Amino acid sequence: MVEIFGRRPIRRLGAEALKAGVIFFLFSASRLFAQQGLNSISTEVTRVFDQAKNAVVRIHAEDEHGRLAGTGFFIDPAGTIVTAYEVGGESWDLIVEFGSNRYPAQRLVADPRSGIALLKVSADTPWLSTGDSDELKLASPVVTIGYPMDLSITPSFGMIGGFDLKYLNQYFSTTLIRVNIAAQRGEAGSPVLNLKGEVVGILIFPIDNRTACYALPIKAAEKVRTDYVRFGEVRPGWVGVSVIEGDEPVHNSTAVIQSFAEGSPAIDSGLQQGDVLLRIGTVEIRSPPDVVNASFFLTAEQDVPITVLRDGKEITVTVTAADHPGIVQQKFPLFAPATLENALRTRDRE
Amino acid sequence: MMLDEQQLQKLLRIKRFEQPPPGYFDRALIEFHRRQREELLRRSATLIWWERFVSGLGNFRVPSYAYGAAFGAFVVVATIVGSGLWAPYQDATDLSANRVVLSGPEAREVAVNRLALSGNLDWSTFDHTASSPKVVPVVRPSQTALPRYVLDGRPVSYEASFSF
Amino acid sequence: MEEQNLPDDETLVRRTQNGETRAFDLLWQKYSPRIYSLIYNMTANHEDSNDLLLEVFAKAYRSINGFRGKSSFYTWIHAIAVNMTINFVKKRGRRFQLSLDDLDTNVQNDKELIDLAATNSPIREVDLSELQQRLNEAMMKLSVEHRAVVTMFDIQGMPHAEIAKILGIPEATVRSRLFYAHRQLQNYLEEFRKK
Repeated sequence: MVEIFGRRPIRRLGAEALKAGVIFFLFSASRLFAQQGLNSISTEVTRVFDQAKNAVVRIHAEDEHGRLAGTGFFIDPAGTIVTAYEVGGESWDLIVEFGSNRYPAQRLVADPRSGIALLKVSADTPWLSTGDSDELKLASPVVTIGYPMDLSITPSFGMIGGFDLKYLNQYFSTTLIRVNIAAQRGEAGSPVLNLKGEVVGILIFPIDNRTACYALPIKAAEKVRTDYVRFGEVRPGWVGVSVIEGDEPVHNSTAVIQSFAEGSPAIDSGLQQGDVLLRIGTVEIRSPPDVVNASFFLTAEQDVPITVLRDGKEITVTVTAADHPGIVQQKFPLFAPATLENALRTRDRE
Repeated sequence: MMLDEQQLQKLLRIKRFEQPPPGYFDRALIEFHRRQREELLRRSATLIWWERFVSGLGNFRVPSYAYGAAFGAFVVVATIVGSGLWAPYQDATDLSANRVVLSGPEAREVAVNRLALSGNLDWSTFDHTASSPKVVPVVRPSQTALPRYVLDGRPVSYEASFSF
Repeated sequence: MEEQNLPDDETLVRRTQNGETRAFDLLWQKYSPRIYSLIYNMTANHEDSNDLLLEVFAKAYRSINGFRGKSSFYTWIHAIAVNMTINFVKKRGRRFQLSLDDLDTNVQNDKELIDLAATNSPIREVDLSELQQRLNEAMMKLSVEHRAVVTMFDIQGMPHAEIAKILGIPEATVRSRLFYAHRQLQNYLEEFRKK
């Protein structure tokens, strides 16, 4: 009996020790993996920063309040720069500083709707390749690189907090990326990079005491750049359809066509009142606010396929978008030769 | 029963809470700046200066003898200038500008020297092929102060409602 | 709003007169909410208030060099706002819409307000937003001059003397306008209660 009773505790002790050993092993392994995970994130972020930093520039300019400074970055090897509209959209005497050099810059295009401006310097430059902003997910890690205040180039690391079309009851012109990075003054126009080192957004403005910020998806910036390359200006398109919220979702969409604007391309398009919108161009429509987003990507004088549901059947019609009637005639500041050319071109077109 | 004075005042005080949405005033300030810029472009700087000057004058009471004195001064100056005793602006033309308008290569050299002293412009990359004259940005004395570091602005939607 | 560290008005005005536009931004920061509230309570329309607010400050900016500090900046900018709004309302005539749908949600949770609606108020059956709307309608039935006085005294809590300075009328006139306006408001709200 004694032996039996005596052996048991010993066996139990052995089992306990084994269990403890396994737990200890698992614990240290997980610590090790976590440590490795952290190490690898740290390596990745450092790599992204080192790869991209040379293509990020500080922009100096002047506006009616005096001198201003912001950030921008090259998106091609020929010196084309993307920055925030507030930095380069309406200012003059633009000087771009990168490396130890300063270059005078021209404004190619300024687009208040998206919140960006394109500038150009005459130089061979490093550049950032663009990624796919549609691939971003909630909690995707991102790096921004900017020039805060009068400090040297500064990386920040954070993650995607959301994709918002609306903030505090105000609609944006297109869905913006909410980035959980505390931006500082001077960093408007900074690139938002994924861990492959590709630009996926442009930092536009901060929210809530600069604890987070909104970035324009690179896809939207590409629309502006493509328009510029093709037409020499941004060409927002318009179809002229008003949409209301339907009672119940049909094929996952509650966006119902309510009316057509007088003289708009929608009138003879084959679309009908009561049609349920499913797709405009490549943008899926689920609810009325989605059309605001789709509208951003329309281009005047370009065909856009629109898919609707009518009597249970999907119908796709193609409409040629017209110039957006809501477009504000740009007022160009003095001493910005590139945009003056644009202004003249716009005038000639009218 | 009639609403008494005190109740009415209490009810009116509630209207204090009718405020525009958060962030409105910051956005309105941006819009204010935009309109100011537009106005600035519409009217020349001289006109604005004149307007400010006149509105400033509105507060002075000019004594009547001042008109006489001003006319007298005008006559004296007109006589001197008219007689050719003194001709202003003959050799002071290039002293006033803080933007330098250049056309020839010598002029560019001057500017480069000047920039070497003040800024750091890289002229090798500046587009020389465009037609002259060029407007050259020169670093001004005021630029020693800190600039405004930008982090602002908001994309604007052209859509009034849900339409496209 | 970072009001605590703002220099005083006199300094800001002087700096604006010397061409420092940032100084005017600070004046904006300090006064735009008050001026907005003044305009809004006289027009009952957010869009119009927005436009007028921008116009008032544009006018102030244009004529700030003529401002010599005979009155305070406070009085001066309020006077510009009241005069421009009175002119605007007179020109607008009866074409206007109340825009009250975007009331701050704080209103709905305000204790004072809930108390008022729930306790010994003669209008307790009315829900809060209806109460707001009714009050605004009653306000809009006043003449714009009366509305200005009620806004500044009852809503913004200015003393009679200050209102008199802004409007350039004797204090006694301010008091009599207030008295008359209150009686009218009481009558309108009473009519509503009976319905």
